Amino acid sequence: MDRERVIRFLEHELHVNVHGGLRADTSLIESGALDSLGILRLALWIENEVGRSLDPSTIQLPTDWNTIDSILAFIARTRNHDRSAATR
Amino acid sequence: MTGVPQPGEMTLRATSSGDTARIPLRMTRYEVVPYSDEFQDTVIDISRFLSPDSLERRRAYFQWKFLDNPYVDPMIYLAKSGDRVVGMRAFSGTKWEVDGSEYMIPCATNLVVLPEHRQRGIVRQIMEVAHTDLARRGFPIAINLSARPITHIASLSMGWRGAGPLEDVRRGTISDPRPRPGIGRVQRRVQRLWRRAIGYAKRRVTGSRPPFKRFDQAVVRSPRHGIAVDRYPWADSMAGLVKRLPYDGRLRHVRDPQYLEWRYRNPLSDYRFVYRQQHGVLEGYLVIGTKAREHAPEVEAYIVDWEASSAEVRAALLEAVLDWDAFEALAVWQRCFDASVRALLARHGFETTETDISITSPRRTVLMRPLGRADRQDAWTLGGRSLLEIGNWDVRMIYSDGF
Repeated sequence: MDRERVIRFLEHELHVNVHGGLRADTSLIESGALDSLGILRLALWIENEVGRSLDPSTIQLPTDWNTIDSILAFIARTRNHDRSAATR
Repeated sequence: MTGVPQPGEMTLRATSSGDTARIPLRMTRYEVVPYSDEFQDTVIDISRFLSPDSLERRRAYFQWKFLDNPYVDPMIYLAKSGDRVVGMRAFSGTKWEVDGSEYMIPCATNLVVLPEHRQRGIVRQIMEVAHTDLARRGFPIAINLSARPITHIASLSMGWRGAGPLEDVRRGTISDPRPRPGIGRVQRRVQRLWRRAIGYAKRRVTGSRPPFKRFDQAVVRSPRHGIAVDRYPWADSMAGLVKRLPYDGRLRHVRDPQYLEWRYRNPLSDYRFVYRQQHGVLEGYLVIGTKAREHAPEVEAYIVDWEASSAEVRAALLEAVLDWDAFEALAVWQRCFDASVRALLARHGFETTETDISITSPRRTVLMRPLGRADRQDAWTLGGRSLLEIGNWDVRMIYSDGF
C-alpha cells in the first residue's frame, strides 16, 4: 500500500482538508482533522485493508493512526503479524 | 470557558510535524460552557436524540440522574453556537472503593450532538474542556461503562483506554440492539423496521409480553421456598450483606443504602429483586433489570447485580429465576465473578456474546482516562492498583447507566 492511496481515501471519502494538503506526517487525530465519525470510517477502511476485524482495545489510536505514515506502518505490522501467525 | 463561537479555522498545532499550517479547514469553534439551571429545559429537550421517550420521562430521568444524584451536582458540558446549545457531554457522579479507600469518579454518559453540527470537531472540543474542568475539580480519573461503538473509538482517539473485556454472557437469543454506525441511514431504518416487525410477529405467535409481566405471573404461580421477590430494593439488608461478605479489595462501586435506594429509582428501567433469607437474615440477592420502554416492550433482561453468602445460595437464586422461565434472553457481565460462578453460568447455558469483535462491535469494557497528566507513572493506577488490568475491577451491570 502506498501513501497516495491513503491520501485519496482521506481526501475523497472522509473529506479531510488541511492547509497545504495532506503530508505523510500531518496530524489527523490529535489536530482534530478527523472527527469521531471520520475515525470510525477510517477504522472500517483499515479493517477492510487488513482483511479482518480489529479489536479496538488492542490499538493505541492517538499514536497508531495519527499520521498517514503511522497508518501505513500499522497496516504493514498487522499484515505481517497475521502472516506469521498463519505460518506457525 | 472558551472564547466566542467562531466558525472557520482553528489554530491547532499539527503535533507530529510542528507544522502549524497543516490544520483542518472545516472545523468550527464552539463555546463550551458548564451546565447551570438555566439550561435544564434545553438539556432535556436535546436528549430526545438519545432516547425515543416522552418529554415527561426524559425530564424524570434528568431529575433522577443528575439532580438527585447522591454524590455531585450535574457535571454537564454544553457546546454553544451563538446562543444555541448544539451539543453536550454529561458525566454522572459515582463513588468507588478500592482496598478500603473511596473515590468520587465521574462516569461519562449522555453524549449528544445536533445532526447539523456533526463532523465539525465538536466532541473533541467538549471533551477537552470537560477533561480540564474535571481535573481542576480534583477527580483522579473519568470512566465510561456504556460507550457505543462510535463513542468507544472516539474516546480511544482522545487518550482513553480500555481495561479488558467484562465478558458479556447471555442465555437465549435477542436481536442485536446496538446500532451499526458503518451503514447508511436508509439501511439502518430498514433494519430497525425489520427488527420491529420480527418482534411484533414473535409476540403475536408466542404470546410473549414485556418480561416482568410473565415473570410476575410465574412467581405467583410457582413460589419457591425461601425465595422472595420484590419490586423494590431492600437497601439496608442488601448493603449489610455486601458489607458482611469478604472483600478482595478490587475496584467496585460503593453499595451503601444511599446508593442502592437512589440507583434503583432509574425511571427508564424496571427491576425485580430476588432475595434469599435464612432465619430473617438476607443471605443473597439477584437483581434483574430491563429497559422500561414506552413504545417497544423489551424481551431481554439482565442480571445487574448478584451477591450471595455461599455457592448454594447463589445457585438457588439463579435456578429460581431460570425455572420461572420468563425471559427470551438473560445476560450478565461475568468477569467480576470467580471461576466457580462462571462455571455455574456455563452449566445453565450462558454463552459468550463476544464472538465477533470488531470496530463496530467492541467488547464491553471499562473505558477510562486519567484527568491529570497521563504520562505520569502512577496516572493509570488508583489506590495502588493498575486500572488497565480488568482483574482489578469488580464491575456489575448496575454500575453502568445502560441498565
